[in-house]
Amino acid sequence: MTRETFSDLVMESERTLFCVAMSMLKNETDCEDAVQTAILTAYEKLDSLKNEAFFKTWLVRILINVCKQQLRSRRRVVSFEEYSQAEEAAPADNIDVRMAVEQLPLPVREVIVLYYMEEFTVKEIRSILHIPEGTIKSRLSKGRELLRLSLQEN
Amino acid sequence: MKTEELKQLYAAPTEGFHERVVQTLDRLETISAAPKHHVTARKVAIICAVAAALGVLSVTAVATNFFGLTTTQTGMYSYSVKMQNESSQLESLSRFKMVLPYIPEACKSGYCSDIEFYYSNHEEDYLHVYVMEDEELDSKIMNVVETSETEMDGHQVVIFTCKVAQNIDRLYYTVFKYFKEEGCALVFSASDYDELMKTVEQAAVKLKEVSEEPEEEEYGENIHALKDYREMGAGGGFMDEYTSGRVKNVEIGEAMELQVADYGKATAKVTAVITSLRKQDTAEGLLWEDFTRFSDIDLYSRYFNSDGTLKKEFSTTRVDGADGDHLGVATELTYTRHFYVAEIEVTADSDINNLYGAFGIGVEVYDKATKTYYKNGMTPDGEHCWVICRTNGNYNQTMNLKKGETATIRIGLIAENEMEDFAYLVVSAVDAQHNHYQNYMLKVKE
Repeated sequence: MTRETFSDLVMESERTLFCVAMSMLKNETDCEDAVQTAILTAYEKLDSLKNEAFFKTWLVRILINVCKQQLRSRRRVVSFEEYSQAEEAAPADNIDVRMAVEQLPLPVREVIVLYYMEEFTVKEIRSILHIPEGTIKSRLSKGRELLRLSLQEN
Repeated sequence: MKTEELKQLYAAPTEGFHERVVQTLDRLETISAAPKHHVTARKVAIICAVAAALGVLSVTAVATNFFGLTTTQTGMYSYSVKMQNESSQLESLSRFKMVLPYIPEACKSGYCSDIEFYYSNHEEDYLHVYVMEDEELDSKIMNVVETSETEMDGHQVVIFTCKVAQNIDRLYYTVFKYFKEEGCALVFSASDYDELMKTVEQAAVKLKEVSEEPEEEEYGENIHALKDYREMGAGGGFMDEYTSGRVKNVEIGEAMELQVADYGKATAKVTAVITSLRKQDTAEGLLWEDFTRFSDIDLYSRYFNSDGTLKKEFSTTRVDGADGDHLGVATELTYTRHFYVAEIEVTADSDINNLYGAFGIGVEVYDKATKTYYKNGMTPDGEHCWVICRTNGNYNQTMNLKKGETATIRIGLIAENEMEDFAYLVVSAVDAQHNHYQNYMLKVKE
């Protein structure tokens, strides 16, 4: 794959990268860092991608790994200032939904985001997250219910 | 909440984000992608090294010298990028089966097949083992710190131990265990060196026997409707399992022989029997813990009074937003809950790890008349049908059974309003190779 093709495929996936990173990191600056790292890592390891058709799922998987790594190294307490910034970044009319999504446990959240927001199929999510399809389904079910309960409470 | 709302949850990438992506792509000019022209040279060298190991020469010096010259720093992702993304590779690897007699205690959940075991606790630790054909080795082995050869069950095996840096401050290890006769290697990657080496020590690959005639599928009446559903273009992934394999109706007391994915030991066999399915107005027979473990929310208090009786009626207000302007009409809705308890007895026909993760027990809401999932299986109007508790809780809980042992799983499900009429209890499983999907459906309300 040429650098130009790689760049084109990254640009085609830009929105997905943004959504996945934001849903996991909840902070635009961290999100930019993670996506940059993921793009560079992907480019360096391009030889391990044998089929361009799977570029997007492959890149998203790398991004998710980078995000998890960032979450591990990030300090546990988020300052009020950062939290407020994160809230301001959300469009005002869906702040409740966004907060509900971001409060989901990470394993559930990543499945919800990939399936509903980015419209990956269950099989694609299996490739990205390396978890059984049954687990994906149960997390989707759990995620939907938790969202419903959370939004009812609001 | 509509699915459309979720899709629009995050606005388009910001200008700053877009700028950063563009800058990053510009930087690629100064970075080399993994050089493919080295592959052939490396492959020759590895084959020479392996041949030497099996002969008189010491492979250690050859391999170390060779890899010493070509080593480049790499991150953990080079080993985490999966071959599973490529169906052609899966096909070529399908003749292998890996055997992992030892797996670290913490690894009770994750992803497992004949050719891959992956575990991550989302913290620092992970273990990843997979089968790789020797054609792949040349581009993967690097940073070798130790090479040794050994004999295992009459097979000559060469082991390459590689050190992999992640974020400079933490080291991970990857071990390639190359089986010359089988023409493949087991690749191990983990953060705990000692546990990794224990896993490596006993691990082996086996060539699978040529399978007999494919098992004839038995279809229950639902499969036709479900096929129709798929042909209507309604796939979307969520219900794909039903259309890719066997769907059978099952009766209470009827045995379901399931092949399940047993983490670490490939396919295991269990026999499951739904021994009872009854409607209750109380939580009798269920433990409070079963509700709390299943969800992060205390579902017992949500659905039951302190005396254990079901909170049968409830009201809520729904606001219909006109095109999302949130100025819509508020509607008071009253719901009736129906509560059912099912008992499923599971007997292990072979040893099995992580029984709870091996197969799924859920509820689907299917309308036979329209051959569709009732209300699309979603909850646009708040009505719902779902499993609210299960013996020993959620997917993080584990249970191991020895061959012949039996466990009883009890689940409780809620169906709201008329959803009760369309609810099916579904027991689903897939073998470790993802060849046999098995789905059994039992109508909840007779």
